[in-house]
Amino acid sequence: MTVAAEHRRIRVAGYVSPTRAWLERSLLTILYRVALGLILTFIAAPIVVVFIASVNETQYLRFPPAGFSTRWWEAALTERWMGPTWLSLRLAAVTAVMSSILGTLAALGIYRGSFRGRDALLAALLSPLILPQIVTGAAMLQFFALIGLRDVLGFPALLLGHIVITLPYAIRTVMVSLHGLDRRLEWAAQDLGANPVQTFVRVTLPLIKNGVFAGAVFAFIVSFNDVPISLFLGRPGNIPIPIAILGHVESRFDPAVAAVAVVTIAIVLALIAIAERFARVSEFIYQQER
Amino acid sequence: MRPVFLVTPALVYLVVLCFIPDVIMLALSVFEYRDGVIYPGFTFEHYVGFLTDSFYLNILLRTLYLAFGVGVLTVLIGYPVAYFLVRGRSRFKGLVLMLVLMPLLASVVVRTFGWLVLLEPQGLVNQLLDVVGLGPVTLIRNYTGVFIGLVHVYLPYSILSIMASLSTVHPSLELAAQNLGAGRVAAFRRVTLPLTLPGMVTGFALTFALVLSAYATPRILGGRTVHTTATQIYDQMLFLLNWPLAGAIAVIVLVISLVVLWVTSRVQGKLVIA
Amino acid sequence: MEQPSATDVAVVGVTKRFGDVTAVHKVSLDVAHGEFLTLLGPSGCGKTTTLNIIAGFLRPDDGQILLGGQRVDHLPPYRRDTAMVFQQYALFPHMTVAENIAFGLQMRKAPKAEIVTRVQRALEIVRLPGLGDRRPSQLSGGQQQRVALARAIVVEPTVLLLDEPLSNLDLKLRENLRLEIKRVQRELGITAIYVTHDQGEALVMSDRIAVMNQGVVEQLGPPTEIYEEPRTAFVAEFIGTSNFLRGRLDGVEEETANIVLADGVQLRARRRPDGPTDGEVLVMVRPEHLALGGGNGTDGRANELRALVKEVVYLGSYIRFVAELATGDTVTVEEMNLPGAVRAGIGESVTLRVAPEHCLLLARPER
Repeated sequence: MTVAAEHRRIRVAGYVSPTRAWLERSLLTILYRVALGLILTFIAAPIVVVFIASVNETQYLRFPPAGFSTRWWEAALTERWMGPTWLSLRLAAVTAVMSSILGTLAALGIYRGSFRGRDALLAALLSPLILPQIVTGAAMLQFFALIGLRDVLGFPALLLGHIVITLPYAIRTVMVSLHGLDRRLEWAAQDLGANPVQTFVRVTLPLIKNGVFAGAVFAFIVSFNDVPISLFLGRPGNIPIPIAILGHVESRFDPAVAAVAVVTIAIVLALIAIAERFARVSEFIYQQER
Repeated sequence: MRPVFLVTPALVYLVVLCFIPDVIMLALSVFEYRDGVIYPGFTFEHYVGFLTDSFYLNILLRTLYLAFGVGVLTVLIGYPVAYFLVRGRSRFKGLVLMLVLMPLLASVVVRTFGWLVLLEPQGLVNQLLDVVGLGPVTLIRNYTGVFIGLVHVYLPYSILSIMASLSTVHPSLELAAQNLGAGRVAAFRRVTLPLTLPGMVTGFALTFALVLSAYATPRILGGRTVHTTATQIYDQMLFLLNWPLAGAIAVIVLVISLVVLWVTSRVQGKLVIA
Repeated sequence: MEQPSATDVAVVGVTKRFGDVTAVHKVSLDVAHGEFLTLLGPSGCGKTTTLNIIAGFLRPDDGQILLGGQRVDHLPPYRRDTAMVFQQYALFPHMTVAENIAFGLQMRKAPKAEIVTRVQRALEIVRLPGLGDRRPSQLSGGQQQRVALARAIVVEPTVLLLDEPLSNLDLKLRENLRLEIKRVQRELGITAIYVTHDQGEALVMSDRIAVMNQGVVEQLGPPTEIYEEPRTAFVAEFIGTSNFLRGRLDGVEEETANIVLADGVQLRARRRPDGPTDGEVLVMVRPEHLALGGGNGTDGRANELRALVKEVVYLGSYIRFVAELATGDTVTVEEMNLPGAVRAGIGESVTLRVAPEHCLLLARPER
């Protein structure tokens, strides 16, 4: 018996010589690797040149680099640049704490809740992710101006705005860690006599700690790097570092900015390194983005 | 405590500081605007003006065109990277992943500044082009520079979307195709590619929507000569103080973004968010 | 069975290392035309790696693969005439059942009409006629399994490779499908290599079994031989249940040997010509060959062991006793639950009897 009614064998592409097989395999692989290499170069290039430009002697970066100089760093490490950097740091730190508190509570509420409209509520809470941020920023400026609160512009307005855009991230990371939480662990705690507060502090919180922590780190980074909200809500002398850089490079080319940029990258990397000691944060950030 | 009360602080916060401002912006966009003063009213003149005035319409069309191009290119060049990160067995995988996630750590402003260094008239790229006899080319203060910068900025979103899609496709499917006689290209084209189409579409849609509201990159690499919808919102808000028009542009950007993301979500049966 | 005529698959001295780990070590196999060969072993023994090397998904570090007498180890999978049934089926979710089955034929550039008839025929063979328009996700696990089988056999490969195809199914379905696969394989006369860790599957389906352990083929032979004549303690332990008695060799004859257990008890056991000649050894006895004596009566020929009953497990058709010998070794005894069968209670001292031909001498593995 055969699969074909009338037996006729249909063959695969079939035998080729070892050389041909090797070529077939290698050509495609080489092509793929070259493409990959070019793309990765494209991704890495602008970051790498920022580092080089910050210690390059001349104003314009050429190849080969002219020589080593710290003058851009000297220009960068002045009040002109460190003022906004410090403001950004404080802003991001407070934003992270506030977003995490509001976000953790909200995530718990959503996760526990079985009320009607739960999904709609979650969608509403995450909606700032879908709204273009520049629209949110512009709308907030109009709002503050119209209700006569022009005075909040600067740190307070920036803080209020940054919490709006970081809150969804905090909610999402905590939701992710709640999904991995076995509800029966809390039942067990309550069964053993823990009241709801004790249960939360002794059982729930330690178990979702990684998520909360990751959410805070994520909120910090988003706030620290934010442009579209900060664009509208700062005031002269009271602007975060990305906006300070933006305003500066718009008008002239200044390698001091490269040094400032390196400082901001270093701050974020340092934060992640520190956070990583307390919780497995980087994995969460990765998951979150997926 | 009832769970719903835990949600209340966050909800109230967003209602007051996000939803109400949005509604106000929507309202302002139909108010009248004469000689720098806003009057309550109900008019679509700002919308009509934006969509009929050739200057503004041009900005919108160019931005859409830009968004489309950037979306397509990020998907095309993001695919090999995503494939490598999901399927590759190289020991450099961790390093490449860090490289891809770097944009989440460095500000858009910082990365765009890097492109300024590379693309300026006597920068490294022009130096390189000169060597091969193609330079010098003007790469900043025009759409070319903005395009390159935007592709770089939004590439990670496409890569991550495709990765998400690719990781749901079991590697054995491609092996099965090869086992049944499909060459590597055919196996990819017939099996992996169609199965990861959702991720590609998501990556495209995200990038498309994000480009419409991208401000920093067009401003830094485009200077004052390149206008996009986002730079227009800013200029109308802060330089020309025409808030109703700014609001109208913002609403148009918002609607286009939402429609793109909504259609994508409907097609794929799941929510697409940045 | 018809005498195998030609060798369809030859694996010659194949070695595969992953870093420091040798997954497959100098494995050699010949599979005759129409034969059903099973690679059996615990997870990590190298059986799936061997299969993947035959299919071309992995390249061996050393050795050769021959399909139909031709060397193929330099060829990519799509140039080898093999077809695999994957563990998770690997059905293409974006294609219908018919498209899935047609895929291999399309890749072989078969004429359209031929594809249609062959797909129909394949669906009939796996008893799924009329389901061609469904998507894999609309089928049950067992049906998906059959589609995977159809997709592989429809191209009439030189060898059909099956990688634990039943491991994701529940017991009942598994028992059903193993007979189905066997039927299809026999009816088509297709050469098959089947990978499993399930000894039951291997015994039921195979013409020959290759028992693998730590990358090496420990024994290769028909199911009866594997069960009745295990060559190593590993094979004896992996297939069925075995009791091992530790002892020292005390005199070897051609086909028998005398063994002294630690407590001085003498045993006579069967010895293969290549069996151990002296030193510390094992005597393997299957539980069903140990007879529970009430403590009296012996025919003078059988080996006798004194033991203390530690546990009695009632299993319906038979009763299992766990007993401890004076040497400290624990043995399992299985008695058919027949009227008049000897019963013993926990704590009772009993005599166990076993014929010398059911005691198999084995080398003691180095631990």
